[in-house]
Amino acid sequence: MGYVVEPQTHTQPMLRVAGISKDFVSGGQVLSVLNDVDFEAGRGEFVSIIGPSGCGKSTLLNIIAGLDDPSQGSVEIDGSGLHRLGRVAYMHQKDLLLPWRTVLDNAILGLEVQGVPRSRARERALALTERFGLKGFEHAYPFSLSGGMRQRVAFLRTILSERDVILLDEPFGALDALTRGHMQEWLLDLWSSFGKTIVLVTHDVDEAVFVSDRIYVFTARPGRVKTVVPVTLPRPRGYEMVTQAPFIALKAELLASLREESVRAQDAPWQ
Amino acid sequence: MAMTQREPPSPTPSPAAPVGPNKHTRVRSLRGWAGSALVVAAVIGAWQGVVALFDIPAWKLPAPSAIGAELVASRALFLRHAWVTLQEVLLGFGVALALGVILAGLIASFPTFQRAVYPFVIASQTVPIIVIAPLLLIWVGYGLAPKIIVVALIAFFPIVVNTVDGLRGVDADMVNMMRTLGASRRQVFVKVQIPTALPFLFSGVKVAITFSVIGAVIGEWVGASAGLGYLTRVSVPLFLTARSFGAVVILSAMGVSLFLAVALLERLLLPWYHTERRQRALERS
Ligand SMILES: Nc1ncnc2c1ncn2[C@@H]1O[C@H](COP(=O)(O)OP(=O)(O)OP(=O)(O)O)[C@@H](O)[C@H]1O
Ligand SMILES: [Mg+2]
Repeated sequence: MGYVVEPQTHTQPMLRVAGISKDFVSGGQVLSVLNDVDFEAGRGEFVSIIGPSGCGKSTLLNIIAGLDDPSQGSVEIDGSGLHRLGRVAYMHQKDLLLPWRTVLDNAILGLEVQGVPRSRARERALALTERFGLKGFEHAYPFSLSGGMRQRVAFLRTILSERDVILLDEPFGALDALTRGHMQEWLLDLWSSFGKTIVLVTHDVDEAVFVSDRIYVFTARPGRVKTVVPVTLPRPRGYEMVTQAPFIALKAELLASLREESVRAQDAPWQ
Repeated sequence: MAMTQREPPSPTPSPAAPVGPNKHTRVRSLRGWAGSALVVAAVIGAWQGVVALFDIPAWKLPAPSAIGAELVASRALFLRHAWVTLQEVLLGFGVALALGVILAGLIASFPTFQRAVYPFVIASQTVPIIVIAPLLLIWVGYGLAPKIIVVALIAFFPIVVNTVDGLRGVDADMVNMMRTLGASRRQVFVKVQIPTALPFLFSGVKVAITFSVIGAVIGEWVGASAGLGYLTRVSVPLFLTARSFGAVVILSAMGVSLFLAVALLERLLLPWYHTERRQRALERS
């Protein structure tokens, strides 16, 4: 089985974020969004980040992806801190499909940008459409797809860009609960066969527990790491686990931790 | 890895149903066409009736039937002049399109270029074309050239303005997505900005092509020896009113056909755009 995940023993993490702070300055006001965040993800590890809204989770992913720079601190991807843009795959909460491209041509965008000839890129995408539940829709335009399908096209585009690290920002936020559950199982399945490092940002505690090796809980803004919770549930995981004691205990621990933060955020809304 | 492959969830619509106009919208648009045909027929009928009833002389107001007769009788003449005007329109429009798109690309890409050039683009539209047209005769002579310049001057403006808006209206998240895929600035421009701008460009082109016909007529009125605009100008003093009207009929037919040709081209080139827009409209209704 492909579940060789030993987060504690990796010598060099795939992704290392050290002492990152981020301040936004707008209109003379300084907004401190991240404060001294340390974060690691091992090779092939599945790590989640949960935290109150506005605590800087998306900002952190933007920084890791190279779309933004930290005010302080450093980011290393596979041991190198230089030039992050184009080195990790980043999936936004919105699917961001190009409406003028068919499913297939959206999926190959990353390969195309790297200079892979279109016909070769299409072949590689076609080999995966079944796995992504897109068979028969290869030549459809995005507007004719359901939300879940659009999200899977975005996933296919992300996977096909062939990075070792994948950042996911609330990828299932816009889906209904049932579709969401299916997509989580499907994502786990995908992860175990592609062997990528995944960083998932989510609001959903169930989701975090169900998929992760470790969970980072962030404080309210300015965001910092409150606790790191290892998830020791065995893999492969199935939905029946959700109602069992170990799962529920973990969930309770996380919820309590989060509750504290949201209360703190409400007590000091001016912060 | 002996993984049991889980079927991906697919709460999906029927596979890739070709999204064409459904029966509902087709019937509606047919009804629309029938409606406008009816209005045109009513106007022509009333016109014919009024001319007959009050016995209006043909040099004052020719009846539609008289205009039709003139169009048939002098078809060789009309054809010759229409060809001249069509050339002016197409050449002038071509210049406007090339110039407009290049200018828009530069304006949208380089802030300094925008600051230096955009004000002049706008100012060029505040100078009445009727003042410039006679000057052009002095500068570039009497032939096709001054008409092409007048047409281009009028037509390039809607193309520039719309295309600039389109190039700028690009979704910042989409651009970031491209950057994380490792795209260069040029790749972002080609793969995201240009496709975003195309529907805007087409809106500009629809206005521009219609303006082009007007531009050609203005150019011919100021000084010409051929063309439909020229024909209207010389026919009236000779009391050949039906001929003048005939030229106008052909001019509007030309404008409408060119507009429809652009609309058709848009449908062919941007199939995603129309279906998406129609779907959104349907969702709203
Ligand atoms: N470019 C920016 N300029 C100024 N402020 C910003 C900028 N980007 C984000 N912020 C602010 O930083 C804070 C954190 O934003 P961020 O999107 O990272 O939060 P988040 O944890 O992802 O929240 P959510 O869970 O709601 O998605 C917010 O208060 C936001 O307004
Ligand atoms: Mg966010």
